[in-house]
Amino acid sequence: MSFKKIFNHFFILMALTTNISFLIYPHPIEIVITVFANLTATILKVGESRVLSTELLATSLVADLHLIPAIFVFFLGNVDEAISLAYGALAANIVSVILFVIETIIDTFTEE
Amino acid sequence: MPRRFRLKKFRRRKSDILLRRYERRLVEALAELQIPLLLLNFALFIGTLGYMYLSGGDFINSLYMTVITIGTIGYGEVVAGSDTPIGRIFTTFLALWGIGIFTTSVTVIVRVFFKKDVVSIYRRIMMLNAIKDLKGHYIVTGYDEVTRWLVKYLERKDIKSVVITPDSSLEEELRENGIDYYIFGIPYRDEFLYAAGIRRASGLVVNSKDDAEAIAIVSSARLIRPDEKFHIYALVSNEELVEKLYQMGASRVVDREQVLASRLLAHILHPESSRITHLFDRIVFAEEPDVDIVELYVDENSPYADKTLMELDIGRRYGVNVIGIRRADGELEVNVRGNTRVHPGDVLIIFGKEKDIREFREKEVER
Repeated sequence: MSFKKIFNHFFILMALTTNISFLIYPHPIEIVITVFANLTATILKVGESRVLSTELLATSLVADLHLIPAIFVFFLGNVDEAISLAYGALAANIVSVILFVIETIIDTFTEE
Repeated sequence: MPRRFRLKKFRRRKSDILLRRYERRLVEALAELQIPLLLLNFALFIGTLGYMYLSGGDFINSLYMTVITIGTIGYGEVVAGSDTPIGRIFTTFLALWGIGIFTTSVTVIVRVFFKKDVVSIYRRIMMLNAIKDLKGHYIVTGYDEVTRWLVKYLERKDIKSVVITPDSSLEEELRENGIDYYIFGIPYRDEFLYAAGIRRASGLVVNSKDDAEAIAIVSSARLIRPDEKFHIYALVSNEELVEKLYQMGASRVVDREQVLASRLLAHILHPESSRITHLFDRIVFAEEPDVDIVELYVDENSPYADKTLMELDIGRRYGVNVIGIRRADGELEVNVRGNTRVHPGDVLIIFGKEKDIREFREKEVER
């Protein structure tokens, strides 16, 4: 069991789950937590040299570039626009989780 | 059959080994940014969330307040609730560890970008990618004044060259001297030769003062490119090495001291016709842009064999002139006419305008 892996996987999933929770209940604290989780997930992918690291980092950056404008748009009063941007981020986060699952499978087979 | 397919599909390209190594170094350097960026993100999150709680959800001012606090800007208590006792206790603790995180993060980020030489690694990755696009270029191993002049002369003829040198401290000098493509590495190791595009190159110039290294470079290169289209030129200072390098597969071995002496001798022996000597020098050494000279070896199967110059009609077809014939026995015939017959083993010396020579070379010499 690797603590680094737990930490990485935790934030990859957290980025997706907080994104979904914001879409279900668009609350100010929810979007702040979503942005924090997504930024943390991105930072954890910087400097990783695994099989799908590049693709994982790219999808995380896409999610960030949707959520950062979304948070400002949300607090400036345009909630609908923020939600539509968060849907974009959700798509990127889903792709990120799929890639992460594929990578985990590849890693498992490589270790064996 | 399926197994063969898999091997082919996943086999790594040898030319990419060096590129992958630089990419790995870049990733390793960037990995050092993880902890400072995580801490900075965490400080911003806690600060913003705390001030949002105090102000009742004013995100933009809360973020601003956090940044001016941990960034030691301190414009004052700009967010509602921060001037209350609870707000000041929160700001005190945020400043105490937030300022530490901010300054440490900035220091680490600056160190990664300057000490770890991220920019330099990135530049090398870009250069290796650019080298991948080169074709018909020359690889020059070793860097000194000779290399510098050689690259300059090749550039004049629109021939690109890649310099391989083990000394990475020369980077600034190489760039100042207008050398666009260079690789830092041991020239006789395959990975560097592959990275320099040896598979697509026209030739290799070995400029090494170390005899063992020169032998290693020539043999490594010849093992990768055994074909005759790939020319290996070696510049040596040791006369004994000449024969060995020919045996190793060098196309031409030049003794640097002998070349200097013979060029000087040409001037000494022809003091009264120094302009002519100088002109021939300039043509042969590609310093005369409008005219050029080329040799054509006539073998037994050549269409030139056993024909007269009038029958060959080179002058009318290409606009170039045969100014001499080096006969198979070594004799140089300069008094050539229309009825002069060309025999197998002869070498025709052809002179003309640069563009006509290029056309002749493409159609007759390199065909």
